[in-house]
Amino acid sequence: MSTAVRDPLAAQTGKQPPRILRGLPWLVWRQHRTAFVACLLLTAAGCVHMLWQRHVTLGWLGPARTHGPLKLVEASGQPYAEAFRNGTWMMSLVPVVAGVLLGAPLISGDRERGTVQLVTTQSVTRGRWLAVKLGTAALIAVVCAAALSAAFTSWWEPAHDLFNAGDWSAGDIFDNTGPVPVALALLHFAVGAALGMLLRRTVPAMVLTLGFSFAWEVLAGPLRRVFTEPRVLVNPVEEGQPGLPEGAVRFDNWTVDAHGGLHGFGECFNARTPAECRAKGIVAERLEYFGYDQMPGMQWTYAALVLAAALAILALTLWWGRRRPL
Amino acid sequence: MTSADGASRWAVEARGLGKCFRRRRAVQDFSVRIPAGAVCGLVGPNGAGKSTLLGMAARIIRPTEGSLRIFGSPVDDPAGLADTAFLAQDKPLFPQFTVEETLRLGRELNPRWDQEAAERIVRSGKLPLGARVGSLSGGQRARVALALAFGKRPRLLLLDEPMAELDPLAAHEIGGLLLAEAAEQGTTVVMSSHRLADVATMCDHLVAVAGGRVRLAGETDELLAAHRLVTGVHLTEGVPAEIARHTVVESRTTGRQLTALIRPHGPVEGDWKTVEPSLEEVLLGYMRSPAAPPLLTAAARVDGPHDQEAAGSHGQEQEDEEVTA
Repeated sequence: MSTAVRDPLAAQTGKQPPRILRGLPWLVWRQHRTAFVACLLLTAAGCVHMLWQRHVTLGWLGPARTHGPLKLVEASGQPYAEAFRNGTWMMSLVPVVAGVLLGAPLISGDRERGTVQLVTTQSVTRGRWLAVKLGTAALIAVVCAAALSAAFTSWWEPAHDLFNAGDWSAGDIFDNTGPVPVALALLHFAVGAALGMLLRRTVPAMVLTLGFSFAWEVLAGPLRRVFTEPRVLVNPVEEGQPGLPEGAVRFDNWTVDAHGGLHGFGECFNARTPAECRAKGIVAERLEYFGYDQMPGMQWTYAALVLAAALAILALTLWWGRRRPL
Repeated sequence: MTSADGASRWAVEARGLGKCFRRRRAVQDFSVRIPAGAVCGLVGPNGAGKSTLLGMAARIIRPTEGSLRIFGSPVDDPAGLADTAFLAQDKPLFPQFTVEETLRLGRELNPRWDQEAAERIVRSGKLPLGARVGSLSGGQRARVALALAFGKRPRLLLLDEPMAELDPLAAHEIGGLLLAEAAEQGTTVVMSSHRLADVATMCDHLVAVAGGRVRLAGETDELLAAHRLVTGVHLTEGVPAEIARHTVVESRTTGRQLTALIRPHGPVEGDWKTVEPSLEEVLLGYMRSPAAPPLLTAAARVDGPHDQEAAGSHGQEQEDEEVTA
């Protein structure tokens, strides 16, 4: 009886909201709105938190900088370092979430439940449906990663010489600032979606995507530096090792003989005076480093590479999905 | 039949259609046509290829050989998307959608969407529009799925075992709804079923498949009229000569009683009791005897006068002539 009463009411109220989204975008949004809204809300919360942390950081940073380096190191010790470590940990989860929670279930869920057949036997082609689905979810991933990256970068940048002991080339900073999180999120999303498409099962796709993110963590480190030439500083042995410029990251140390030949860093290790070192034929100390101003170039190169891989995987997924049945 | 031009007289036209999965040939050398406006039953044992055939017509499975035309245009022509609706056996729907959202899915994705027809089907089952699909019973979900299919206003409705999981009451109700809506909209219906009673009551055309090949195809009445069930006392081994001169689909001996399903070539001579078999008897006869030659009525044959090369075997043609005679 209650249903008979509710019935016309439901029909009326259901037609009230305006149709902002139409066609396939509506379907994709409706089907995945829980995941999409969760991603957007978490992003908003993360951004607010990190902007607040930026405010806190600027609060102690200004006075500490005026009191000299010792005070600065002391100030950046506790508890700010802890908060920053938590921040880097949260940021490192962004690609994992994009791949495991957004990418992997995207297509595998439909294949598992058979709703692929439901959608593709309406008046839309499989290719268009896949394109809208992948496009919408990828857009969400990119927007979330970009917002979080902007917030995190604005927190880290003022204290870039202090956080993580100033080593911005490590994954903690390099992968979580600037354009890199966006590219990594898209790559993980693409891998998750492709695995879901191929495996047709959500849980195995999620597990394999998680495996991919671990493998990427382990294997992709060298890719960050490989396309950028380090800068070089050379000192005569008498002046000792060249000092690292402000904000730079050490890449390698060498010793140099009179013919310009490079020797290991430890060549003069046991020599007490520069003269003893010269007796071994070593005339200079050489430092290779990446300057802070090189960081954006390195990040954009790396991000472009990752982005190209992500787009290739997405295109392949789309092509494969269109090709199979008609 | 519904249209003046010859191309669209046939809702489905398969020529040498085949589908090979990795190791298994699900459908082979399948040539048959179904006229527009027919309610056609697709019957056969489990694994006969019924779902594969429907999947190919619904563009979910890509044929590996032969051609398949829907209303005269190739099945892979994207323009034909709006013409076909498909209801898969497990009736996949989004469980988290409400009934109303499920209908909106149809409205958003189909240019010819008929909200009134869809809502009428849902309302006649007293389904609340706000209910989640996941909370509905099997029969109610079948009704929603059917509403989605009919709301599309397809010219061809493909149903894979629409009654399989329904209780007798729901099956009867859904069956009636199906026929009423199909009649009202002039929809061609092709439904697979292994419930022969459903087929007998609902369908005016029939395609029987076994082992991926067509065994019987055509108007139900003509197919029945082409067969005779003969019974009589028989003392010697084997099929007696006066029966064997007809095409024997199946013969069985119980004690001294011989029962044979035949396609008669003229009158049956001798002391035999001859009756027209029921649809179930004909279908079971063909299912049990895979060696019996297939029978296609003139309407179901694709070998028209202009393209003899697409015809089946010579023997098949001969059989067809007998039916038309």
